[in-house]
Amino acid sequence: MDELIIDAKNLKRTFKVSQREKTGLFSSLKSLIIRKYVYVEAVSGINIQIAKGEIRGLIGPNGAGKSTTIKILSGVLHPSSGLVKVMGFTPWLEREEYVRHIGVVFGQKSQLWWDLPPIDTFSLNRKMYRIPDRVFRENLEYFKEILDIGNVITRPTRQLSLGERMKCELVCAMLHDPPLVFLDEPTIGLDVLSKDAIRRFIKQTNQKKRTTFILTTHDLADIEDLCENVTVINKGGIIYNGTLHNMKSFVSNKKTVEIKFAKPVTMEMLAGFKLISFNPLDVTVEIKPENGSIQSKLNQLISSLPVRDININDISIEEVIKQIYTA
Amino acid sequence: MKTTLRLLSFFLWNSKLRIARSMEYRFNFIVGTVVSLLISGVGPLVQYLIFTQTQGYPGWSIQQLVLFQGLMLIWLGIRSTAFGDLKQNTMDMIWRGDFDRLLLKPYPPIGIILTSGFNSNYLGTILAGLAITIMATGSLHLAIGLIQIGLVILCLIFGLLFNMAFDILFCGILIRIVQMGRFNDFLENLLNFSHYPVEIFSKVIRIAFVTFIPFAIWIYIPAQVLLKRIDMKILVAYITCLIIFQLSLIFWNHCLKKYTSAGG
Repeated sequence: MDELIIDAKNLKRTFKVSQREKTGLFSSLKSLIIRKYVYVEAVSGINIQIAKGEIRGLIGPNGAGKSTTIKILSGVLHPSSGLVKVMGFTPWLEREEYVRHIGVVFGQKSQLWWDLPPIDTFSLNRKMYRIPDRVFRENLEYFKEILDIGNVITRPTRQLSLGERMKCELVCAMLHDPPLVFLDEPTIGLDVLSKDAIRRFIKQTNQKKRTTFILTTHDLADIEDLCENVTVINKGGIIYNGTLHNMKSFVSNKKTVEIKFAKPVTMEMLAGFKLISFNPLDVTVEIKPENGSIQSKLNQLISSLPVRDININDISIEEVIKQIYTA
Repeated sequence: MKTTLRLLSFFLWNSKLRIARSMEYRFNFIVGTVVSLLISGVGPLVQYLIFTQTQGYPGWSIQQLVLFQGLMLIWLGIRSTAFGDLKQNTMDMIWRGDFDRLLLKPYPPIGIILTSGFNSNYLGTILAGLAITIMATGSLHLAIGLIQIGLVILCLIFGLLFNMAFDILFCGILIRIVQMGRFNDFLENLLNFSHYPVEIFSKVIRIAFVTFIPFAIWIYIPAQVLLKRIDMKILVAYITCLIIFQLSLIFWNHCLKKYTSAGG
């Protein structure tokens, strides 16, 4: 295996959370005196190894434990137990030195000064990370070119679009040349063009500087476009860890078949097939090879119905993820 | 020491950016400065009324009280300029989970908090305080030597440490309980004890304010230094400020380990 940049073993984090059983004023007043607490295990025994130079996707439903994992790995939170080594550091114990070697972008939290142009925040970061002038200038030029933000960084942040702000957030996180970057939902709320620009930036920086990226997202196109390996987290634990390609077969080797008909058909005529979508002239069905060969299933379709065109696809990534989440 | 110097230079950078931000909204900046100047005049006026309508403060003449008021304005101006935005910023950050950002910077987060509270609206108060102090010094015919200036500067430094200790205490508690608006009011009211000469309090409180809970370090002791009425108790006040500051840092580090962030 390639050199590891992150090695986390049996990571756990429990939160004590107050809980109110009922809504309403009486319940609120009661909670002033008697409060019920529950212990929530946000991360429960995660083992994760990430190689240097990788772009690793970290996905899972809301509340799965992704952000908590990222916060522990980036030194923001102390874990309840477990061992973590990132580039030889224990993040929460050697935080001040460690964070010089990482960059973090939280898609929903900005580090840009709202009233000032991003260039001022960049200068402040230069001061904070003690970035030499030459490196600062070179990196800024590189980012300006690759992200096309030459005329953006001198305008007040509050006048920038979400996409422009996100590009500047990436610059903030990467001006000091960190070998490891955590991106927590970097494409949230962005339009197609902005998403594309950010993905291109991640890919090129990964190739040019061999920067390792850990990416959490709910946009599976980010994962398909960028990541070779994926870690799926749910209910605080890892439920899949491996290549994106293998993830599809991890669930099953189902196929979806899109069929176009020359004449309208009825749902009754498709009895025996699992319908994914139905339109009298256009139908998608799911076929499980274990219930008989694909060929015999298709023969059955073609011989009994007025088929005009047919497309056989692997199950979509969305469907795979949905199945893993609900497993 | 290195970290302290870096934080100091970070404070200057931060202040520059905040001034630049104020300039973006010039009208607000001008109005804020004028209002703070007007408000800063209220305190001395109230003190004057108290002094003239009662038996005054034991051991203080009206000119000496004006000096006290001038020093008070300088202190309040410096405090509000350096740390004016600190509490509200920290409350907002912790409440929204934005405090995470500070933990991703290569500095102690409390250092970043303490160096990010600059508020330019109170510069006028410092100027007003300086003007009143210089006037009072003249009318009292005080000969201010280097020793007095040195001691006042030390009072300012240790006073800042003592004030920071309160802010650190506030931020530490905030990390644990997230919201504490009225507790802040309580703390502020507690600090108001420093706005009066300690002679108005009972003997025990008077000694405590000059030594073990040295509220007097901010205004009363510097005034006594300029009036050449100071004794060795000033050293106890300095040392106590340092100890309380250190204790507040220990408390802060303990609270920081319990930080839970906000949901992702």
